[in-house]
Amino acid sequence: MHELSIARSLVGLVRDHAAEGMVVKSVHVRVGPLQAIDPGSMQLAWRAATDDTVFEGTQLSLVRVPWELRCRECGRGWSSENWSDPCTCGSCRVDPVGGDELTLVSIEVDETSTYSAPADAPRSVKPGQASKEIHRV
Amino acid sequence: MSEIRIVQNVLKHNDEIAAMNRQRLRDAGVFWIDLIGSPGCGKTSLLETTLRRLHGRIQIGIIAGDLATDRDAKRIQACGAKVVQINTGKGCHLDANQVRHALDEIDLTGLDLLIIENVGNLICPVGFDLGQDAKVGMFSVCQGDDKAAKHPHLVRAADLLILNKTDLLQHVRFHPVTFRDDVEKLNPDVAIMELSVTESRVDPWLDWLISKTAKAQAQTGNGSPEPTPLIQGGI
Ligand SMILES: Nc1nc2c(ncn2[C@@H]2O[C@H](COP(=O)(O)OP(=O)(O)OP(=O)(O)O)[C@@H](O)[C@H]2O)c(=O)[nH]1
Ligand SMILES: [Mg+2]
Ligand SMILES: [Zn+2]
Repeated sequence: MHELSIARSLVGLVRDHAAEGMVVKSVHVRVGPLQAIDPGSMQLAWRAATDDTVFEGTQLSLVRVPWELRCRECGRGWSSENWSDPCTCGSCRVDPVGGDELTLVSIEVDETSTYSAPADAPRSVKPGQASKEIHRV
Repeated sequence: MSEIRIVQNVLKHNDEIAAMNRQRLRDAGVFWIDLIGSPGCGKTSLLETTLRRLHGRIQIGIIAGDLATDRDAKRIQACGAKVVQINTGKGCHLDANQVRHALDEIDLTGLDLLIIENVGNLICPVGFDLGQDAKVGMFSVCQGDDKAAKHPHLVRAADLLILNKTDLLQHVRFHPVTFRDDVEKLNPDVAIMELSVTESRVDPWLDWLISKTAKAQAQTGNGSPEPTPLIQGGI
């Protein structure tokens, strides 16, 4: 269950980026296969880490990035769910490259909501810090 | 609704603390290892043997990560080593912050080598950088020859792999070639050391430690840069 530690770190990062008063609707994370994250456990962990915080109810969207593979014989590169795929040229000498990504890509926020945090909830920090990076969607 | 682009490593805070740990040990000239393996693969046994065999040669400190007990720490202490215990409770891995606090309890002066026995788990500890110089992944033949293939993240992340309990090869179904092939595909650069800790067949490991430790000291200008290997031809 390293998913729980990851969820807690994620909550910390999101808090750094969401200005006070913003309601965070969703959090978007890309995860490579080397992180060995189970999507079901990750969702549960996210629920556990956000319960009783201002992020209770915030959706976690996980995008799983497949393996990037490269053939040592013919040099072909492709992506696959399975690191041990042989190449179409018949070679089994295939190198996995990368795969250890674990990135908070973006958050979706609603600035108009008049949400008031529960009194005991941890407050957002660094208000305004992220505002310059906001893009309308 | 608006989108805030961030693009940041989720474990950023862990990695920042790991970088501090790394600098601290580098300044002290201590080589350090994160030892990761499944429950019962022989991590503590390897440490006991290492402490006995290298006694008087290099000064070794140990951080023992354990879910709930202090049994490993007691076994290590019985070998005369400085040991700090971290109980993780329900936590399935050590993180950089826990290690930072454990480092506060260790006197690094005079220490040559620090080994962290991570919580017995092949999955969770892998993604958490502690700041170590080398990650050592430990398997044993009793677990089956498919374990490298099933744990690609550890094989990919490891700087050295140990295959332990080779004394049991005649009793269990384990094809070393299958294991080696999978490792070779996942991480062509990593060396595999086949050991039997209980039979004290660990010389390549000891030589590796001696040479790495000497290098770390040479970089900070302490210690003797000319190690004499225990056996010739170690990795
Ligand atoms: N046959 C054989 N048994 C071994 C060897 N190394 C360790 N063992 C045995 O394996 C069992 C587990 O050893 P430990 O050293 O406690 O394993 P560990 O990895 O520290 O276990 P945890 O900390 O609980 O994850 C003990 O009964 C050891 O005697 C070996 O090389 N050969
Ligand atoms: Mg142990
Ligand atoms: Zn090919």
